[in-house]
Amino acid sequence: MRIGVIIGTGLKLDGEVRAVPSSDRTALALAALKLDCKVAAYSLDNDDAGLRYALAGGAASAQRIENLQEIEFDVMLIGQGGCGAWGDLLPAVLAENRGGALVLDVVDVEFSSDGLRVTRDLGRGAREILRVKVPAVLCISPNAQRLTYVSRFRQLSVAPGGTPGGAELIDPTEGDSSSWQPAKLRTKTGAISEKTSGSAADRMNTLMGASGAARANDEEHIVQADAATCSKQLLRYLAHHGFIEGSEPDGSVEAKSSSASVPPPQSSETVPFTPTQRRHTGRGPRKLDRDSKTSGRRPSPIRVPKPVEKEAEIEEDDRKPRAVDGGKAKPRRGPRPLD
Amino acid sequence: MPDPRVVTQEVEVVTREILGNVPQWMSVSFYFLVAISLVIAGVGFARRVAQHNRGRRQESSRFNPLGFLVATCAYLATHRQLLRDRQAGIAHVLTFYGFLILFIGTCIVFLEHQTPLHFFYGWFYLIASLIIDLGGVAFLVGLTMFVVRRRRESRLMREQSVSWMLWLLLAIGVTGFLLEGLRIRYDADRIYLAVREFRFYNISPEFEIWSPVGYAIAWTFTKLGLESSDLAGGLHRFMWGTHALLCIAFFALLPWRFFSHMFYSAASWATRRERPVGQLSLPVLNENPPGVKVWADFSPLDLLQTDACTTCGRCNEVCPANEAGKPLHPREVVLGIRSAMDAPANGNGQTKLLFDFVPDEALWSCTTCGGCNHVCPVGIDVYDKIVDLRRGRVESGFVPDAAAQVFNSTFEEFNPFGSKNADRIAWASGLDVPFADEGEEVELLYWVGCAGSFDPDGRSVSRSMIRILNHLDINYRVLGKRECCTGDPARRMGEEGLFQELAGANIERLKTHGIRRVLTHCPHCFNTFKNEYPALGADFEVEHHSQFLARMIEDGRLKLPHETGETVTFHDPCYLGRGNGETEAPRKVLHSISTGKTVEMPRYGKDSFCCGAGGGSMWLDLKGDTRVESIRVKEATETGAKTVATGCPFCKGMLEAGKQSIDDQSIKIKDLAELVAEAEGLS
Repeated sequence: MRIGVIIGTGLKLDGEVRAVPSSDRTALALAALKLDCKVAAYSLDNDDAGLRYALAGGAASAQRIENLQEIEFDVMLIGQGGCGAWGDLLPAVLAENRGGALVLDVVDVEFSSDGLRVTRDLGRGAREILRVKVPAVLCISPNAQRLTYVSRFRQLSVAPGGTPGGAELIDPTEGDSSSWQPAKLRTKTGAISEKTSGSAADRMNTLMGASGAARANDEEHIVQADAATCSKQLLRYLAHHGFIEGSEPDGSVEAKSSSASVPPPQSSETVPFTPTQRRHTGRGPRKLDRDSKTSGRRPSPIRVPKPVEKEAEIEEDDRKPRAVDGGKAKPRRGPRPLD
Repeated sequence: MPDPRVVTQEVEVVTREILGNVPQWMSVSFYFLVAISLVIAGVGFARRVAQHNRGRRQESSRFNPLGFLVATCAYLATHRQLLRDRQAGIAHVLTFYGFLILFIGTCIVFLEHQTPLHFFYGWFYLIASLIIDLGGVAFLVGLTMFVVRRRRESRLMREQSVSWMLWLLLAIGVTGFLLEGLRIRYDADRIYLAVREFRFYNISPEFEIWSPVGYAIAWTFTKLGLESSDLAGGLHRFMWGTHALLCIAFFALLPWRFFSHMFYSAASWATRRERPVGQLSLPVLNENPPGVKVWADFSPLDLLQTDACTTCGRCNEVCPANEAGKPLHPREVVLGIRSAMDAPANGNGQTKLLFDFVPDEALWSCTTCGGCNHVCPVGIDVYDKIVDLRRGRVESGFVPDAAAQVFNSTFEEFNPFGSKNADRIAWASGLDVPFADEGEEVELLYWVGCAGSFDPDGRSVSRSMIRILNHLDINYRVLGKRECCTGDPARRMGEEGLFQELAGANIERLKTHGIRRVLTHCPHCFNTFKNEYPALGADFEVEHHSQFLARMIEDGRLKLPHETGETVTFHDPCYLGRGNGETEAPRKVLHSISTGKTVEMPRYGKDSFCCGAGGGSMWLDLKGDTRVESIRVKEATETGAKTVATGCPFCKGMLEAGKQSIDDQSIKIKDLAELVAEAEGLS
């Protein structure tokens, strides 16, 4: 099986070429670790740093390519940096040249009995698992999990001639993600009102009202009202965000923030809702109850995409991804996969 | 010349017959078995030393035999490092000196018995007997203290082998005294027959009271009815045999486990790397990648240090990660390396990887505060080994995502905070900051550092420093956007290649400006400039802002008219206090600022407790029972101080975060520069 990776550092706006983008790193790591074959790395832009990275990261060979027809492969993995000046066109052209499948937004790949088992990122945490026959061109998503880190020493010790210098190839047997992923990125807390001695995840959950303690102790965010008001609120919310058709009711609602006793249902007369303003010190994530006018992020409505022809067979996902559009694939930008 | 022993009857009596009641076959067997046990010990030591020498990494410093000898003697004579823990230190002093006296006494007896020298009689005999007896008492008291401590102290390992060895030593001491008592009892009968003159309790000649413990035991035997010479003689022979066998076992066990520390610990201390705690050794980046994957990747000295570990657990006791309930126990890291040395090869005949013995969770919990190195009584560089193991992980390619993000950010944007380098001078907004032009000669460089440039807590420190420097009308420059990370976080997280790359670039850049003096408010940058860049060709005079401010106050250039009346405490940054020994300058500044009380936390100065940010922990988060910064802030509030001063932007940020865990939110966390600026009316 000929596995190839097109790798590069990409072009920055100021023309400075420096680091290999994360999708290219993942492409190489997937090829070297998951497919566990000899990997040939290619660069289209005379990208020496990219080729050095490839050799340091486990590629058996690295070469510059002038003509796309020269590349022989069964599986080609491409990251963002590898496309270079070609942009989104490169994967499509490669797939067309070889008459293979093109899969976008790939986050994982492994061999299966009849080809490849490819996991795609559908956004919002949803995944799609495809069974793809070779030859195939796989575009790696920037959201794919990084598998390995290639140190600067490895990169610098790769001989310019194209053979690994002092660096040993990464040995997949040394890796066990359960052991080498113990640390998470720390979140700066700032002045969080809730006291916690937990990890960043705990603190974030507390901040978002998701932790048990926060649910029990902090009910300020709960709006308590009668059923009619709640229904009206729900409809207003759905209409506001485009989930349902219809005009948005007045922005005024009847609500009361948490208190010890539930207030008796009010008449249909509404009172303006003033969310409880908490002190925000400028550090750490903003509170949920912040005035919505100042909040830049809102949930976007789920758009119903037009159905497209599937080129590859969709496999039932064990992890049961959230159903999007009734199971129909979402159209994505970029060239259509070829037969 | 006549034999001095037979000059007078009196002189003849004031001595004892060596191996008097021991049959020849027993004494011959004894010497034979001792020889065998010494051979076993010698082979054991030789094999272990050969294993140490399989360490691949070369030490930069050369072995100096004279220095080694002097250091060993000084270490053993003073017990200074051991006495940091008073109870354990006293127990060790008693055991060590007791053992030494008994050993010398045994050598004297051996010389008297096996050589033509004759000196073991008269006053020498009496004084030697007294000293040996006192030595024996000290030995037993010390050992008893250790046995009790092993049961009571939670930090000590409940290792069966250590307990057995303590009991063996205790048995040697006890049987020694019993042997002496029986010998006095037995000799008394014989001397009674010969001299027919003894007074004390009818058991022995008067002079044996110079062996008070043996004399008391002999008296007890007499009181217990041990009158018969034959019985006393038989018991004496039995006790002699028991004592001899225990000693032979001790000799044979010397190279193994706990007993070996007698040699390895002293050697480890004497050969320890003489350098500040904050300084890491510089691996030469040639064909061999930095870091370790198998035990043989360590240097021989590192391997010797792992054998020197006495499992006392002082490192665990001071480790902030351990105290916060994170999965790091520095002692277990050292013992893990030792276990790797002892482990058989895996199925393929390859040496097992160290990561099977030292888990990644432990490695990434370390804050590189250097507390373990500082307190280790045998001079083990624990955190250096952790960094070496991290280097190995980085070279293997398996590092946590969070660490990889820090590395990538440091490489791409020249800072570990993940911010754009274009924002590096955002902190200076509205201030008159003299940025250095390209190639401009700079007399004094104010090195802002990444925390001072990007972190909100650090930015306020930088702004205060600029105000102070401008107020003092000092000729200085700031590099601005051309400043980049010193590489300290990357280095502590194991990315040695990135560190050396950044260090080389920084040194070159500073040299183009002809910079000789660097002023910085970040102890991490200070430590890197002071201790780590010189090995890469830098020659800068570096000053921490606490030293600079103290100097300015001393020179009278800072008048500080608006002193604060609040109670203030100082949190010593690890890389300033413990790492570089600077604990006075910040306190001088504080005393000048505060008219109120200046109080100390329970752990301060070189024994200070970490804030939890070092070694990349500013960006990495490992779940523990609590957080390091919370422990420290709690400690600070318990002093009653209203302001916690510090001299590090990382510490400031972490302590601010730690404030969330306490009830009293009124406590203020401030840097010295901020306090000085306030006192000078510059804020």
